[in-house]
Amino acid sequence: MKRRLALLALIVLLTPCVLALCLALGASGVGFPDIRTPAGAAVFDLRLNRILAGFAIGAALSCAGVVLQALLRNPLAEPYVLGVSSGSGLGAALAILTGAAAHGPAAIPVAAFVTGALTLAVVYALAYAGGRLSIYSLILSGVIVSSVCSSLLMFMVSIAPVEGLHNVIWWLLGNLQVESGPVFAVCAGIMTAGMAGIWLLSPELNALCLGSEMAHNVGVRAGAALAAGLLLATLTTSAAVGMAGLIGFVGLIVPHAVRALVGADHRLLVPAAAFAGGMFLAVCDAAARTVLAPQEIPVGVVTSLLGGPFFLAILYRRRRTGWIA
Amino acid sequence: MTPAIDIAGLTAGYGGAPVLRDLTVSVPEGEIAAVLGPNGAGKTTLLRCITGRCRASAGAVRLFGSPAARLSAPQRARTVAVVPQEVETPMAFTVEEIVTIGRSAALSRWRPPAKRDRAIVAQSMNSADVYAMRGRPYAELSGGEKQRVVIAMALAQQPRIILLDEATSHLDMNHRLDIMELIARLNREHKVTVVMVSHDINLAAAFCRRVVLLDGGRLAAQGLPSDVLTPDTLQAVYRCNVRVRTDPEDGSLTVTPARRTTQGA
Repeated sequence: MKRRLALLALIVLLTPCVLALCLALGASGVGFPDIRTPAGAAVFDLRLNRILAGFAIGAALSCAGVVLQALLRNPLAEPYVLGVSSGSGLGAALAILTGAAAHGPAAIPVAAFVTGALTLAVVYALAYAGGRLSIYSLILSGVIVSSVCSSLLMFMVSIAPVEGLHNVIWWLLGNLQVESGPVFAVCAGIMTAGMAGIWLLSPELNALCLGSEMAHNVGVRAGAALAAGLLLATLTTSAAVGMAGLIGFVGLIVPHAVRALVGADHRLLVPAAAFAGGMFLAVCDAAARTVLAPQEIPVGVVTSLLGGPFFLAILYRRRRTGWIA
Repeated sequence: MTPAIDIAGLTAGYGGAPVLRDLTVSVPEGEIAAVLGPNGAGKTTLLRCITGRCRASAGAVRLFGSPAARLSAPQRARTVAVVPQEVETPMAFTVEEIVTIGRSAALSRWRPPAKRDRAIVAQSMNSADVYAMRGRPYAELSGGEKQRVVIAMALAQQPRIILLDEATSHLDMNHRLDIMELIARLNREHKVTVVMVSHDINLAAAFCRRVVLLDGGRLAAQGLPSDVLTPDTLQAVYRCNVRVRTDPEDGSLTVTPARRTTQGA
């Protein structure tokens, strides 16, 4: 317990140092920008904006992953498991291809958020049977609705004009350069509230890891806690997707990695996942804009390339402490 | 005195045909009772009605006088705890974390577990004899050790009733005895009322002072083991020939099914 608290404290203390380091990396060169010159100040603003966006989104996706893995009792659950990715992809593609995106920087995020949330509503509605939410039908309807949305998305991409295509694909791979201030503020607000809610749900999440029957037996209102957890995960995920598109892998690997460090108790796991996920995405984005500078790599590509081997290493070494495999 | 569990005219099920029909059973406080019956007789449904997980379509379940369905979640946790056949989790919780889950209803979401909760968890681990393994991952324990941890989790609720749902059925006879001695001790020392569902009639006869026999969702018989566990009653309920022997030395009952012999074979 003491060791795990110390590890959590270490993760939290490491965060400002790592974020400051990211500030020194960018397409315009390595080193802290000189904020006394107008050009330097602009670069500083740009980088700070991206780092904060990366941190917020990484944190939100990791927390959503933690919740879904606990509620679905499935190690492969991640924030996009219930179809939010293809649902919001559809919305973003619609906004770009109908020309709505030209009306302002908020059009794509808003469209993505709305269709993502709608998709989830459909998935939940399908999963309700006899007034009860069944975990298995939830996963099943998530997979089905998700593949229907993907087909529609593929269809739209196939008929898209060339100039729109680039935008759609860039969005599908994730982009942390948030162009609209109000969108940033609203999404960050939703994500922060969602993460706080998830953390406060920790006792219920712990109990639900034993199944909803046992959770009921230890005095948890299992149905209500399940609904609350799913709602919070949905909100944080759609806000993250609306803000920066689809960034894969963060919500799957960070919870696993952090669980190997601080254990399965959600009281520690949720804050640790938030800080570690935020750092992870900020670092991935710093790498994305530095490695091939001035060419920029989509951040989603970096998260998968860095995350995949890292995940395998953890799975191989810490199999027994993270999950029963 | 108000009985610990008072079931009157209970009819309950899962939407289709009712599993339990017009069942009336009462268990006094401090009792250690067995619910027996063939597969599908409604034993587990009966336990789920007691925990409020399954709602009655007619009749009522009262725990110490209060309707089970109307207890708040924290009240329910303090009244009744369940030890199922097995508790599995994909997460790598330590033994201490699993036992702490038993305090779920009492914990504040704003603070770490209070000193009092930690003391109750430690005491529960001591009672179930799992304190020494508190830092080990639950998933790595053997079946018998896991069941003792689940009993500690149930104790951490500080319940007045413990329900065992085939809690020993996948353990070997030594561990079966271990778990039952532990339950009998808790019943003796803490006056916890125990209701156990089991297919092991001999184990039930050895540890329980009262037997409730269910058949097709109805009460077939209830009373002392020696009164209920007779060849005639058991043959009628289980639909097979049984032998019941009383040990001449300690008076314990042994029920064994007799082989079916087909005519002409």
